[in-house]
Amino acid sequence: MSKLTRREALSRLATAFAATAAIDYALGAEAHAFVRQTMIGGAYSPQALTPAQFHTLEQLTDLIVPVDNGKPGALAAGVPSWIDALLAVNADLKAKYVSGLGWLDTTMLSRAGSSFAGAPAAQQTALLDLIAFKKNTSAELDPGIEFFTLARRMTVDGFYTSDAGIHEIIPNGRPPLTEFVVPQASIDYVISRSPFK
Amino acid sequence: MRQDVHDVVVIGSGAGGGTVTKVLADLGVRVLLMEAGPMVTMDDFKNLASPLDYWHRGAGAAAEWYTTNQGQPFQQPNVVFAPNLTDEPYTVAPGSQFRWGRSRCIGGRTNHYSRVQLRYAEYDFKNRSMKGVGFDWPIGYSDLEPYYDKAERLIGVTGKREGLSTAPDGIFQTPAPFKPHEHLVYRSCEKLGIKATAARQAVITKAMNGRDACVYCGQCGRGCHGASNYASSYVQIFPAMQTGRVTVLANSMARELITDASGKVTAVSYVDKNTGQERQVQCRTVVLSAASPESARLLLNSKSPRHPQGIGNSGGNVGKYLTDTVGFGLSATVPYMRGAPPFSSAGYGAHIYVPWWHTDHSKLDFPLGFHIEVGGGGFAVPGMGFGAAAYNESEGYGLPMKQAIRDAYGMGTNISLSGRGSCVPNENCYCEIDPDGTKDKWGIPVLRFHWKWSDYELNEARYMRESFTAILETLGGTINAGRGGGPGRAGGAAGGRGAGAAGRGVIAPGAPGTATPSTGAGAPSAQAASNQPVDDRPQLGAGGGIIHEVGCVRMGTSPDNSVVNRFCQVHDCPNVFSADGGPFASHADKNPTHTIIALAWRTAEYLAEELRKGNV
Repeated sequence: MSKLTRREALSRLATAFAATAAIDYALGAEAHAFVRQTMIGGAYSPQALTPAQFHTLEQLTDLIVPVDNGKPGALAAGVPSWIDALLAVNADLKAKYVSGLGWLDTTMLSRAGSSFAGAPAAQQTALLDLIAFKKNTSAELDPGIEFFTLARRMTVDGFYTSDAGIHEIIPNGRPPLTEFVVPQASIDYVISRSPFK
Repeated sequence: MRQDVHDVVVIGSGAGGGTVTKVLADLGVRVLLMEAGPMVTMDDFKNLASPLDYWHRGAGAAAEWYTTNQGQPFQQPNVVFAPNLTDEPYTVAPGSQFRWGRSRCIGGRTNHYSRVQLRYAEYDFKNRSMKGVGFDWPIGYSDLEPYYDKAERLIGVTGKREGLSTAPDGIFQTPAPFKPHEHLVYRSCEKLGIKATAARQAVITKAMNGRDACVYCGQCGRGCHGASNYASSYVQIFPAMQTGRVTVLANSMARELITDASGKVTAVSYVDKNTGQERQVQCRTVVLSAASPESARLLLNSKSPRHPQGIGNSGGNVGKYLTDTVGFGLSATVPYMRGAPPFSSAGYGAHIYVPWWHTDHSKLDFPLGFHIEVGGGGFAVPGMGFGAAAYNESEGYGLPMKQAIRDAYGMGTNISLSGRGSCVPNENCYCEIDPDGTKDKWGIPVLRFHWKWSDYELNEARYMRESFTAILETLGGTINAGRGGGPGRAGGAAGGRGAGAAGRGVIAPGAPGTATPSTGAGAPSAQAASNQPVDDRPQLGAGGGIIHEVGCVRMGTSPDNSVVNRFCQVHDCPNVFSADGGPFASHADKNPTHTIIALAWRTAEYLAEELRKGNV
């Protein structure tokens, strides 16, 4: 299956009835898995951002959804490349990122004398601690707050729709499942709070 | 060129037509299957749709989710099932409300029904003699029992043997376990003396007959890519096509059955929807499986000197005693369910159901019962916007933000109960050819519907509200205000389809778009007189709203009281058979699909034998 293109997979699917003696019901699921597989992983060349901008985006998304207790964060889940691909099809969105990533660099330069990506981790989080909260609104910070709000939204969307993100929030992931299991802990949680405890 | 004479022309490809086609093909009979909609393929069934199917994951091909807040739902619409109301209208008589949920494609409504698969009980066939209302069928449970067995061996039905007289056991697939909220419903019912049990769904939990086991995506209503649930398309028609004995005529709308001088049907006239041309196929026998009212329409539109009122209508019974399921829903909020450890909870929709629990009706003010379908609970699968409420509140980033998202993520705190109940056939519910002469796009006269619920159904709905309130409050829930407000008004959602079972398809019946629309604003006549005490019964929705319309080509002992005999053979025209919900002489407290299949199976075997003997 791995050598099939997506088009070929779907084409095979469409002609499965005509071409085979037995109905291959499983082919649909197989094509589905294949399509999913092509969506993630592999080396990525930025389409919208410059390599430097993309590197800053990687740092930013890694801070928004970091590695958590050994479980993958936004970087391992491929969020930066997903965002870049979206920027490539929406000029308004791209302009917001080019401007916002530039703001991070300019601001870090005046605060720490380096680009955002080149600054020590403590300097990076110190800046995020300002722009990640609307209460810090000011003429100086507002462009950063506005950009961070957008970047956080997109990073969270990209992370939790990835396989890594779904498995983090739902341990047994999304269907297809080979078995339907209800954790005893989930049943106990509900029953112990009910009138039937 | 000599035209082929087909042994059997089957009109309509849903549960009835699919079953007849498969059974006849397996018995060596050649079948021409006529369907008013298009062919479907397995790729039309999108149940496994996921954000990862799209590179943008639902943000839209131009990332518009982030600039206009309009994304692209990752669950694409199914193949279009419903006919265009402008091309294929129907009308509703003044003072009546009726909605007709039709399908036009191979497999019909079985592609996306809720897969509730219940055997009728003995009393469901004997309402008159056992409950004192409605009509007895000329057959009983023992006539259909072997066919329920055959159907279950082919299609697979989940369930647990309980020995209940109101819900006969079958040959069951191992059911999936209850979800947390279903444990609550089970225990609440137990406390109230009501027996709940594993849902009886046409879903396979182990691979069988070349079909995959269920993958628990909860999207049965979208059809199943792996054929893990029943639809006549992939369980019956596609395999039957592979015998080489089935010819499918898709996009072909039957217009009329053509008879010879003796009154026997010799051909089916139909419209090729691709070209608009009228054509005919010659036949020895015809099976009507177009869905009950559509089959009645075809009979009524087939007038000839030997059948001046239409085929099968010498006694004036075609179209009469149409019934639909009584539907009423109530839900409650159960806040203590929030916070339960998450798991992939979709399953195959509901894993529990509550069969009718009264065997003694002496203390009830209605004669026939209902069953309950259960919805609620469950963990949403992340898509665009996931966690937004949490991080917009917490703000920040990193691990504290992730924790805020985890804390807010939880099992839904809603539990819903949907009653699905019996309807006693009455003479005010029927369809007829529209007397104002309305025709469809091809000039075929359309149906006009008449509908009136009786006190039997209104009292039944009141008991639904009372019993659902007891079940939901016993488990600690707070009843949600429904459409129409609290007690004294509707107090719940009446008539509409509930959200209980696995993801519904797209067959919500449209309002009729014709010159004589429903009027009367649905005011039940029972409440008309102003000096009557306030009627506290739920107002029921339009007839047909639950999409279980059966009857109107009814089974009975003579042309005076029915259209077809005990083998679903038209009394007045013995080479015409009925194999959909049409022959149902009464309406049960169960959904009709399983009985349509069992009855059609029996009819097909009878037809094959009659063909072999040369009797038809």
